[in-house]
Amino acid sequence: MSLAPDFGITGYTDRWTARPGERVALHLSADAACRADVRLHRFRRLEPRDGALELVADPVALPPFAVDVAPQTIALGSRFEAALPAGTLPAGGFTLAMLVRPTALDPRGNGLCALDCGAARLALSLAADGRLVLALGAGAETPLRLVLSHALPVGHWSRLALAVDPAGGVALATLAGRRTHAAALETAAPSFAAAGRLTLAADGGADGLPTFNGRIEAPMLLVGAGDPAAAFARLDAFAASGEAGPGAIAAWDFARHIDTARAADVAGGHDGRLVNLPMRAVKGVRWSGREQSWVHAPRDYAAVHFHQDDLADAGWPAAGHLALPDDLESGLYLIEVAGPAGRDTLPVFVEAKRRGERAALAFLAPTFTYLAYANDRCLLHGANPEVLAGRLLALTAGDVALAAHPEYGLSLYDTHADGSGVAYASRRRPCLTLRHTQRAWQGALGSGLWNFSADLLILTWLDREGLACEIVSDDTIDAEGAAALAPYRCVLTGSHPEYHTAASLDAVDGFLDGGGRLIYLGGNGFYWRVAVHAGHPETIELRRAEDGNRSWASEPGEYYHAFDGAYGGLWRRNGRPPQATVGVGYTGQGFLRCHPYRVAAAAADPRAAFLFGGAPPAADTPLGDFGLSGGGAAGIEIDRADGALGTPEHALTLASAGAMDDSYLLANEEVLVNRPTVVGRLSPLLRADLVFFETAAGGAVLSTGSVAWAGSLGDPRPDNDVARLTRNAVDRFLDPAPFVPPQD
Amino acid sequence: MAAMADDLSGLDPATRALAEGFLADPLGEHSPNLQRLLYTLRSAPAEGKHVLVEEVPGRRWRLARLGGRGRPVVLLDERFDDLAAAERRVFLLRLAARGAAGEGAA
Ligand SMILES: [Fe+2]
Repeated sequence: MSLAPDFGITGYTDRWTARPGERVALHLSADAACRADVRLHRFRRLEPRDGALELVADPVALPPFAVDVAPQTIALGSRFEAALPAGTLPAGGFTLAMLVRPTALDPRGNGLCALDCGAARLALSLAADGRLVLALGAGAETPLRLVLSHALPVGHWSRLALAVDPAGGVALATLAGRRTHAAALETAAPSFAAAGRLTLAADGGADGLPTFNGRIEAPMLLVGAGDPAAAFARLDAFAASGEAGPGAIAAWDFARHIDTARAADVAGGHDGRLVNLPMRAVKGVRWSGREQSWVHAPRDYAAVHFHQDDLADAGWPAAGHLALPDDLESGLYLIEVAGPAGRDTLPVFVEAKRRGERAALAFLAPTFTYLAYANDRCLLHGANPEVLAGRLLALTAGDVALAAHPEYGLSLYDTHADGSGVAYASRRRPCLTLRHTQRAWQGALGSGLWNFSADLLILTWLDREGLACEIVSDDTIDAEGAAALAPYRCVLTGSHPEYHTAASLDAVDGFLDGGGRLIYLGGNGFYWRVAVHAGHPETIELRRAEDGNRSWASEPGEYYHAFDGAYGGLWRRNGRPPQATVGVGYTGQGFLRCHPYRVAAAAADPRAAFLFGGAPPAADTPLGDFGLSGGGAAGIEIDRADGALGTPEHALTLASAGAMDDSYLLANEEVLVNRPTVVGRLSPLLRADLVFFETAAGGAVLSTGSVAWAGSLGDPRPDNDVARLTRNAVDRFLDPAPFVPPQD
Repeated sequence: MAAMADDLSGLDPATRALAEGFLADPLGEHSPNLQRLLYTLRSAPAEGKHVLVEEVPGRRWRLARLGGRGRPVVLLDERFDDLAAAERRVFLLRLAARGAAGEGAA
């Protein structure tokens, strides 16, 4: 069985975590319209066969279920929209004014704004060279077009005023620095009195141009079509005060409701909405560095950054809803949708109907990390991956499909077309990296399994061991806190639980504070801070702030989340290094091969005897000198113990992998003055530590500090010291007898 | 593999020695000088860069070039059943392109 998607049918679900009895919406598209069968399979394990890993899954008996799947499109790019009721725009003339800062131009040009009222239409766009293009028309007649002789400067703020005078025509004026440009379309303008819509950062759909890249601030509609200097003065006053002043028809203050997709009209009550979540909490014209947070100085952050490749919701209709049986056991399930056009296989984590009823062991599915990496395109358009991989990139069917579908959007690792970092990630779109067949260069030599697919090796091992285990996801602990983990005695993490919200990290800490036992089966965990959007819970925000391994960097002054106002970036920079939770924290990475740990003297401590069946190996014995990920249990992204960063004093470092090869690089946050010893064996900090400690609440933590651990755990070889040690840990961690930290 | 010596014949002796080291063990640990050459070759921007596309996972790969941002992958008519062979082939293609562009040794 492979259930391999070929993406002739492609889809997404409305959620990645569900409970028995719930319905999962299937948003599907097909290359050609067809009827497709929907089947549900329970993931069991991956088994090596002929150089690859074969899926073993159990079919779930469901009534026959088929759906009609039609080709769908996606309108990529973010925009602003506000409905204007009839009579909003006065017959005597009006002016649209705003502050604009383009950041990139598409070769096809970009829409900038459009007024569509009844049959009347006025649109402004940017040509490939940045020149403004004005179009005015009514109904079916060919619009009048005026291509202005000057361009809006990229990377700079301009004031812009577009005045509509029913008698005199349309006059456009811009002011960048001290340079004013003006042009006019002298003709009788149609009436804009009918009900309609103002669109910003897009052409309103009529011309099909890519949407705008750049920032817009303080858009307003003013009565009268007079002197542009007066409009610019009004604009400056509005940007400064947030007050629209007399005679404004509408004035949208983007400094308000920054944590929402709403744009408040402080003059006329015609609130607008931001479609596809353009970035908020970005610096506007007034930002000076005096304040770093929009919470303290909202007026400094009264701009919105639009991108032609933003995507918060693909908007595909649900082709059907899969009802999960009420008695479905908790586990990972694969929803197969297959028809003449092809196949997609969508994973869904099913949590327990009543948590803890069937198992005292839980797997914490790192859905925030899956989401952060969703549609990672760095390998398709970046120069770094092959250098970091140390070998040729091998693309999967998913990667090839992603390249063919830019409209599926970007990941938190990518940059936008204008070079700015992608700070928001939504799952309401096809997320092709979340497939059981996905492999990646980050997964090292061997299986290449990475992130979601590497976690399948942990589930594989659980299945092989016959260990009953229920699923809880990041989404759930973010929403429900430690209570969602409390029914379990022992929780296993994934191979790479990198991204956490304040609430999800609190939940893990709270579980431990309540005496819970945690086995951290990964590396680079609890690293970045993210936030969930209150109005769009399927979307997370990341600021790649002042430190850390960053595929892009947030702009100065933009380190605070829009979604919750918190300071973003590394948890370590928020006073919560991973060592304080799990005893180890990120120290470096290498993506070619992995290495064994070497058993340390502390393994002989009687406190750790249970991990080795009472017979600890001699110091320096290799541990995990094999594996499906890079050929060793230690590697890819690795963590170390560090008392200065919060590793408890009584923690035992049972084994370490310090002899990494020179493709391993020390983490940026460890580098103050750069020096040529940040590689491989030259850096004493560059090591994976296997750490155990007891908590005061009677619980305990075992941390592997290595993404590659799962690759050894999932290896079916009979003599598997990694699997044996992990099993010993689980068995003891499930035993209610309390752990007691050493008294000294 | 027989054509390999010919492919290296135009190289200066230092680069040739590095190339021979790579071809002997493409996925092994490389000398610092060879590693420098590889960093240079692998740092090319994505557009037009050679990659592999999996045809049969773990068993067969097809040569391809990246289209760059927003553009599809271009499949080429060469297949490999061994990753080391693919590494050798692309290494030689890149060395040849570099020679044609008149670049010196790393
Ligand atoms: Fe990571």
